[in-house]
Amino acid sequence: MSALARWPAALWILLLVCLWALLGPWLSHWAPQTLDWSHLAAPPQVGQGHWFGTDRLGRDLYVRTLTGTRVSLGIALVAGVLSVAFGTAYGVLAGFCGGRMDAWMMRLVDVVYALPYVFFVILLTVVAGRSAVMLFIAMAAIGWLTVAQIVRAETRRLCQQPFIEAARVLGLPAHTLLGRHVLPNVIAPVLVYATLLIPQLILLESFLSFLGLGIQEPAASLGNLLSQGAQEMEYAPWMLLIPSAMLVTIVLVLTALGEWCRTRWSLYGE
Amino acid sequence: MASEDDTQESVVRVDNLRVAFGGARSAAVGGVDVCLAPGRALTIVGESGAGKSQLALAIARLSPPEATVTGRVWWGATDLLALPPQALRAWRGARIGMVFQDPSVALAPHLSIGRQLSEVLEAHAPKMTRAEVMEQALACLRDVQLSEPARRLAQYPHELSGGMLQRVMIAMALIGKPQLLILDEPTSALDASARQEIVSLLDRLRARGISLLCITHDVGVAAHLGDDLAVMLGGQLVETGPTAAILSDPKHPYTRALLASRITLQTPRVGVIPTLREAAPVQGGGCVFASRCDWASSVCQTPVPPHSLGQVQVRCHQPWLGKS
Repeated sequence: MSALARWPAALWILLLVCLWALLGPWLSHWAPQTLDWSHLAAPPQVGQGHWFGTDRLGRDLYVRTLTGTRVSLGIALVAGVLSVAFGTAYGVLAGFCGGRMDAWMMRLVDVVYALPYVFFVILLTVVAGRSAVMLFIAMAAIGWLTVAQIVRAETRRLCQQPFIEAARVLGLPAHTLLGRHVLPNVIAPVLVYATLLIPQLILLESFLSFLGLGIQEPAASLGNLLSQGAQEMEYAPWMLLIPSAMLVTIVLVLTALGEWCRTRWSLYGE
Repeated sequence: MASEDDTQESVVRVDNLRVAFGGARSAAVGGVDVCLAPGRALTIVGESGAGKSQLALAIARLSPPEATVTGRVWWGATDLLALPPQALRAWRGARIGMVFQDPSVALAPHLSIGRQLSEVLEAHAPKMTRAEVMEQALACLRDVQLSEPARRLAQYPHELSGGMLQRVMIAMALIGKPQLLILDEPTSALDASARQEIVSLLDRLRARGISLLCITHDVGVAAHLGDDLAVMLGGQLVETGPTAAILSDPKHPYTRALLASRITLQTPRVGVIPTLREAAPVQGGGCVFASRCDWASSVCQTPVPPHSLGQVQVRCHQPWLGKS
């Protein structure tokens, strides 16, 4: 219980990190893609303004880490919104229709779940080419599944509530039932799940970029920074450690925040 | 029975209605016939599990999806059970209103009373302006004599008492101007004074020509509403007829036991109905009360057609036995 009292601190840390990622790059006079030939793979230092050091091509790691954080957070946010929007619509529809429609729709979710994910993303890259839009779609393609399941279960539960039955017997049209009676009541669990989904998506983006399926050089994201860092980890460990520290902080803080929301509103169990 | 004139169609006639769950042996409602005239009240009393609620839900086409419903529910010349789901919305609210047992869960908790009323108003008369809708909503609440109706519109269900909420429920059910109001234990979740108020409100509705089908386990409500009474047990109507006739001279042993089990200020000791000794399955169409009846004999294992005794129909082979 004492841990609970500390959770909201996660919110402050998150805000600070976001603010830093947004404004931090302006504090440095280096641009994310400027090559500093006189400092290749330089360790962190104060003198030249390479506070976090540079990478193999002499690009400033401080600026690249922060812009990469921006990109990772932004992609996770967009993919999260896509996942939640589509998953909610799908889940509400399945739960509300019930019967055979529900069964088929949820079996489709199970089938998509069962697809080998990386293989699916590679296939998508081959077919649609690598782009930011493709990345959003690939990430939302896995994110919406759990949202749909949660929303569908919640909708089934709601539809058995007397007030939904009463509204139905009063002759309310289906869109009123869905929009005004069902949807407002599934929003809370969805929002809580979304806070837990975002860190998963950040990890996913990093994973895909690490594999070379996500954000491409010269643009930075936490994933491809980690990927480069991993190649140089023996003689330039800061290139791996600094983006990792950022990723770990963000994921921890977001997960803590999600957990806090969940216990706070005591929604769906462990 | 079928009539061209819409106002004369307000008779609902239930014909051999069966509601079964998981196979034919466990029928919640086993072949019930009910007829309801315009402007009359029919009260169905019985213990929990007698199938009263399933009967009411089946008439409103609200049976759970796993139930098998057979028989006919005639509304004029239309069989409600045969209506396609798309056609139901025109009937719900507009011809059949329904009021549920516990008003505190039957209203959407996240919407204000005014909002919920206006939703129903808009569903039934889509071309009203905002001001007209609110005016109508106010009129609805006045109609059911809710105190301070203007203030109630902005309030949420948790801010109102059970009796007030039940009035709101009734007001909402009346918006579509239904000819039949089905009340599923409308007073069970209410305290004694709220119950009294709701029952007199129902009385006024009946005087307006609205037919009432009231499901209750409260014989007091049945006595107050008057008109017709049906006693339900094990999915069958064991005794039907005018309320006054049944209450003054109950024929079926179960009805007698039910009436004797009422707690009144005059009864020194409460009569106890023999509990379900076992699940009492209806063996080969025998009497549903046989396993619990003090006067049961071998004849009770054979099917019991309804006997007419005066104005009352009784499903008992020996209704004269055990009468004081």
